Amino acid sequence: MSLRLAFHPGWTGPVDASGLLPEKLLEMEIPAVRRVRLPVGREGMELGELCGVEDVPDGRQELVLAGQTGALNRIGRAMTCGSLAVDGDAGHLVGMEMSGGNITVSGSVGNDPGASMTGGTIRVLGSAGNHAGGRLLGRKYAMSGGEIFILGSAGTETGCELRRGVIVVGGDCGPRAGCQMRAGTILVRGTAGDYPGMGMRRGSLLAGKCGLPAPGFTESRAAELEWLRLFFRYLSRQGIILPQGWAAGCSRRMVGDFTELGRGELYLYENTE
Amino acid sequence: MQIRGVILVDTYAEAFPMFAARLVVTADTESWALTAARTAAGLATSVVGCGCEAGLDGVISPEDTPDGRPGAAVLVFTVSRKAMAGELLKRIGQAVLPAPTTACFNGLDVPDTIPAGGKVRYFGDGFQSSKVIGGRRYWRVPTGDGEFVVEESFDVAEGVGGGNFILSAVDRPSGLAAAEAAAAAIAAVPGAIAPFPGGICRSPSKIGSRYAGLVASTNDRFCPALCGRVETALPEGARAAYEIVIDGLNRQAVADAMRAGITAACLPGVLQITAGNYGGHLGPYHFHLHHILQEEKE
Repeated sequence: MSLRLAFHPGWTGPVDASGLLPEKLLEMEIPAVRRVRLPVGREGMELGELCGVEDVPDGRQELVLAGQTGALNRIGRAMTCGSLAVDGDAGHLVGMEMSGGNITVSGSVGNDPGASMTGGTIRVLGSAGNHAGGRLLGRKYAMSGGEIFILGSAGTETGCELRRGVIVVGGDCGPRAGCQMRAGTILVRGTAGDYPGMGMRRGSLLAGKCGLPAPGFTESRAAELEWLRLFFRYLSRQGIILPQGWAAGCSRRMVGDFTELGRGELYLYENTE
Repeated sequence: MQIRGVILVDTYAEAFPMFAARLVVTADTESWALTAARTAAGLATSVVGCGCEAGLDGVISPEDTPDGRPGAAVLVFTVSRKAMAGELLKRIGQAVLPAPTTACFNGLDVPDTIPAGGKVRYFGDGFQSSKVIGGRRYWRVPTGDGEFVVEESFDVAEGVGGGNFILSAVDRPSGLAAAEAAAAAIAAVPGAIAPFPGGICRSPSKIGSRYAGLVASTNDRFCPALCGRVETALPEGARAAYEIVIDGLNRQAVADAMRAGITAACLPGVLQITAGNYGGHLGPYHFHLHHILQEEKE
């Protein structure tokens, strides 16, 4: 049985939705759920005032957030398991510090989705703001595990300082994707902005096209690399369909950034549909 | 009990626990996947002298392999976990890695793992890199035709080794034809292998020897040339005997393979099928021939 929280229109100010976790709320009775308090601006409000709470007998174990969800920040913070769906847009910091479970957002999300996450999957059917999979201020590491699938576009510095894990952007992304990357994989189906992978040490960045390449990269050869078959096959199982030409191999492969360790790779496919 | 006129002796095969791993080898073509898999399973007929027992566990279609290419599975059996670590390192590193276009993946799903791929990676001489895809870590080792991808950890399960049966025939051609039919039938059973050459062992063996340090020697009771010198286990008129040894991922796989092999081996010229055991002192798995064949009827 799913638990559906339908947020009322009308209230203003950001809501810290950290407490809305499936592993917590799905274990509670409806009246107890209504009494859960969330910070709204500088105040605190009970869920019963903010939203309608109902069980949905759909045979699933899922927490569904619906209605006016665009101002809900920190959805799924430190989530460890279970399934959370947002029926609409979500605010900033979706899935921050999460270590397991699945978050699906049917709309778009704000900045910093998956910040410092270590596991689990975030799936955004719309677009995302800046710094997807980035590092939270005060934290040592950026995203170090898990997966972020953004079917729309993403903002600047997607996957900045990424340590491990996979970020897929279905559309374009802004400049400096994968800057300072430690490892991991970023795939941009469309065009990555200027300086993708600038300062990256290890890891792989795949894009249809890119703007200006970072100066610390040098041309390599587009050899047949088996890990890409493995990766593309995995993505197709996740419902990520790549342009037909990608399976035949990239048109250009660069390695770098030699201002750093220089063990990163940049694959460009020129969007060969 | 008789099957198509072949006497099935009322005895049992005695088998014992072994450590088992399953490698999935893929390549650009099925031919290269099979070549690499067969090479990886080379010289692995018996733990007595080879360190492990290994064999081909069948061809895998591209839809069922991790990278979508044609594949072949290899089963490897050892008597210890430590031996398995060494054998996987050798066989992946020396047989699969050098074979053109190949990749190597773990083919089991059990909790116990050995980081064999994590050691093969050192062939990359510092140029290797890793990828975590779908929660599994793979190593990429640069090679002349691109890269060799190997999964970091290979699962190790408790398998069953030493399932066997011995057929006696009126002459060598009819005995060999029956043994070949049995080996072909066993090859079609998933999760089981017959590790000897072509799946057939010409020398049924016994434990120990009159020579110190030799742990196994020819089983003189099944050698037709020794009739008259030693007490023979061959039926009257038999002039050839072949043993089929079977290892499997579990008891059921061995039982299925023995049943398939015995059924296929009951051909004209075969007089008797029996099994090797050591009085129940060697291992906890006893495969009674009559029970196995009756399971099929049931």
